[in-house]
Amino acid sequence: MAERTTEAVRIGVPARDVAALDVSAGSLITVVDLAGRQGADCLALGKDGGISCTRTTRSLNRSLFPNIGQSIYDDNGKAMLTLVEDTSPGPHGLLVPPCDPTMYRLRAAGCAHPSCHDNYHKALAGFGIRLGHTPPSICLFQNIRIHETGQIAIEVNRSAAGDKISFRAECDLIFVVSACPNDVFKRPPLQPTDLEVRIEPSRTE
Amino acid sequence: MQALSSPHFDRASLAPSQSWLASIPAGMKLGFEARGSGAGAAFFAWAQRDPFEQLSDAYTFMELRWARPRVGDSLYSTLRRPIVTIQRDDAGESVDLLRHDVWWPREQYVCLLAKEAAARSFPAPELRDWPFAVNLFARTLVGTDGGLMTDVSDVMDGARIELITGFELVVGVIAAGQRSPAIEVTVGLW
Repeated sequence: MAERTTEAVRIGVPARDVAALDVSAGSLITVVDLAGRQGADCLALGKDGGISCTRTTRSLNRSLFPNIGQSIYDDNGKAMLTLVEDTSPGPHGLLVPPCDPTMYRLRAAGCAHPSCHDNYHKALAGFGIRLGHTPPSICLFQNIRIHETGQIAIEVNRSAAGDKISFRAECDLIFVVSACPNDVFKRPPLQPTDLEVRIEPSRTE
Repeated sequence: MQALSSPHFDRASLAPSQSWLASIPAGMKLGFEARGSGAGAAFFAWAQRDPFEQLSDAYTFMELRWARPRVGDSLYSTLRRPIVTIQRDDAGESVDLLRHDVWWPREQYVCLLAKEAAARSFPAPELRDWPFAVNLFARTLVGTDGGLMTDVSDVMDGARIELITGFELVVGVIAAGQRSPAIEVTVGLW
């Protein structure tokens, strides 16, 4: 057995900011909530052009969020990320879009408020990628639930400091993580905090 | 698959897997009628003036805070504007946003509608930015564990869904499956 790749990478994502990482197939991606209760909005873009798709993922898993061993799929149904570990109490979300300037304008927070939407496009521009739309987020640590009545409730995240969630990359991809800047909806008001992303390259024969 | 079109805002009957594409002004009523139990359709919509403003399950969930839209509810665009409002839904909560169709490979139906949009000079998104469909005459239940289950919605022959357009739209419809009953699509001001 021979090690194929180089050393593990550990990158801090400051509150309200974004990181985008070039990840090889087989690598382990871990997102850590350093302070607790912080949302991590994520996207994955395959080198073959596929984009992580929340709706396809819900449809293929028949679940609001993957269980351990299940995957996040791209818009053509190809597995991109497989959930391998989750130390948080959950839940996580695959239902709503990233916060965006329109949302902050409508909630009287101003268009200049930082947003996951802008973070995504800024990060992807660094790879020379321009999307005409903004895909819905993989919302890690987001405390979102659908009640029996059909009501969707989004409440303060339950994750504690150090909680982490790990995925195996099933293809070569760009993984984008935004430390969600949303400080509008949270009750009681919480300030956004930092995240950490760890990439552990695969070991192959 | 055969593509139908209805440029004069009249009625189109879609056999299984047939598609329909039209440009529809604001305030117009868009009706879907099931021609038998088990009928279903995928519904797409985007703004005539900006194909990147699209009907979106995610933005609808965020704005509506409700998973199964009902009569009187609007569905929202990616710019958080009401894109259509549900005026009638005979089967009840049968506009399904939770799961997209798995009736066809996405590439197949996107190419089909994209070709028709191009042939008719309708503005349309790039293939990578194509919206996902909302399922009509379908219903998904959510279990306490977050599991998603198909609910056999009470769709009978003659069951209707009626939507009012919020602004000028391009809409696409593909009737479900291979052997499902037909869908009648009507556009007008009745």
